[in-house]
Amino acid sequence: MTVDLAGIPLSHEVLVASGCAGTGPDLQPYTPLADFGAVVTRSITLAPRPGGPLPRLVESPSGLVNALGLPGPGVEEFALRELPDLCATGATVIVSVWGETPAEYAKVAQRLRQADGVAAVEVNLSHPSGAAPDPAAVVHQVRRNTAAGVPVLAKLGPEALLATARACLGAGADGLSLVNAIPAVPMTTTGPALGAVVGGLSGPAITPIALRAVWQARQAFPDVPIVGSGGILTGPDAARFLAAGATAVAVGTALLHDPSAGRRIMTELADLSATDPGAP
Amino acid sequence: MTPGAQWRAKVLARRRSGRYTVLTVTAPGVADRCRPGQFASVAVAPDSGLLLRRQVWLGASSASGRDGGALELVLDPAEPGAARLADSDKGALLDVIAPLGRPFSLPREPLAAVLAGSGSAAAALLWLAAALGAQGSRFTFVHLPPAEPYGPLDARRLAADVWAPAAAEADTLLAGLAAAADVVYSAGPGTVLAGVAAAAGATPHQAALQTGLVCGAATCTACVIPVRGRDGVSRMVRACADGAVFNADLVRWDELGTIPPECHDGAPA
Ligand SMILES: Cc1cc2nc3c(=O)[nH]c(=O)nc-3n(C[C@H](O)[C@H](O)[C@H](O)COP(=O)(O)O)c2cc1C
Ligand code: FES
Repeated sequence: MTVDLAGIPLSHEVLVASGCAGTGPDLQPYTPLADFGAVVTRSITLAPRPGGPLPRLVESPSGLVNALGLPGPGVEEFALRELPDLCATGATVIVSVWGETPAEYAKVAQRLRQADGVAAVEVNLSHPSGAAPDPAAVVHQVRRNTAAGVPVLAKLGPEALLATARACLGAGADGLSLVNAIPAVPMTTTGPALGAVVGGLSGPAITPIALRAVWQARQAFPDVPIVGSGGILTGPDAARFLAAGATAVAVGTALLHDPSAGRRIMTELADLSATDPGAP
Repeated sequence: MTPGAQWRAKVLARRRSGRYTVLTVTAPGVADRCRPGQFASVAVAPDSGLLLRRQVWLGASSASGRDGGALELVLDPAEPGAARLADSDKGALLDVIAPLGRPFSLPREPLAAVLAGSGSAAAALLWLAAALGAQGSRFTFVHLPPAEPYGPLDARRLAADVWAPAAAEADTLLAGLAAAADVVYSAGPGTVLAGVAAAAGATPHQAALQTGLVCGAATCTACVIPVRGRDGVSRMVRACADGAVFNADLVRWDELGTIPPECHDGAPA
């Protein structure tokens, strides 16, 4: 099953969601990265980041709340080492980018423009406090600093969805990635459960919200490519996102639960379309 | 590290040991690769709503038998996900990845050792004890508070001496025992191991760190701890992939849970 995502051909409609395959190689023995339609990297920043204090990841009913703090080596090291290693697996690589300011996002995009193997750029517009300060300005900067044939996807949370999506598309985004983990504060009986206090809720707990986002965006923007994510654990879950209007789907939390989930979801999706088009 | 194998393990037997539950599960082609100090990660059925895997200590392995090998998984039902796993009936299938992490390294020749563990992590030490005993090493076993001791009868059968000190006495007892020993092996949560590390002083110390909940393929970096490399540079390393057994002298125990400013995520040198 091939799919066209904003002009790039993907071998499959199931992708790895940003941040859920580590640096890549650790997942490879369980589901070869090349079997996915694409691998979206964790969000890459201009400077190296150590990541946030522990606890960084806690369970919540049918979900996870993560506040990893975007640990990473910075774009220079990423472009020199991680990106070539990822490309060597044969995977189609979509690089997620993040910055404190529009100018910082621009610099990350500039550096990536000089690297080989970037099939698309996904702009992570989430900040721990909610959405990035000026999503349209960020998208504009990233689009301006990315080669013409390389699509730019705006990755959004469910808040103020249509207004933000419209602004991002107006600023040059070629597609949408819906949704990011949703800002959340998990608590223990004595205080915040995460070192950083605020994290992002992911997993089946957010599926209906994510489906709402995909559905509404599809209604509002009939021709825009949309990558859907939020709690996909099974083939039928993936099919629900496609039915809501997603062009492709991304699997995140499921890979933390079961590193072979990608392969299983792809098989289940194929079985589903072959045998049971009307499954619930 | 070679990645752990993932398979559907069948529960062959279930037994209680105090508050703990021990599941014997099939592990064809895997059991003979497992060593004391290594662990399994086990998924709780997703209908539980619990989405991280459980780090489960291996209590023993047998490489032969009708099922082509079996492993003992030691569960502490005080944790809700482990409680769900502990309820698995004979014949149930579990999503298991093993062996994970580095094992304890055994001394080249017989030595005097102290084995200090807390809760279900003591299972790793009891398995180690059997190997040390077979080699002729002498050892003392210390059940550390606050958890109920795991396998106290096995400890008494295997060890020359067994202690279960109260919290207030543990440090002094350990310091005395460690000073008279060639090596200390410990297993348990970070707070307990930090105490063992302080008490062990200059005695070489291998510590198996319990992180409890883990992701599937060591991709999330939720378990990072600051470790000094042999090059003198400290890095954040993943306890689930680069441990669980660490050279305790290199771990920055006082800074567990924090990210010291100069430490970036990395691999141990
Ligand atoms: C451990 C973890 C790390 C993540 N890291 C990133 C990241 O670096 N950048 C990003 O845009 N989204 C990140 N996400 C969000 C996912 O890409 C995904 O959009 C979200 O979790 C919803 O999908 P899921 O329920 O399948 O996980 C992360 C999610 C998790 C659980
Ligand atoms: S628990 Fe995810 S990297 Fe260790």
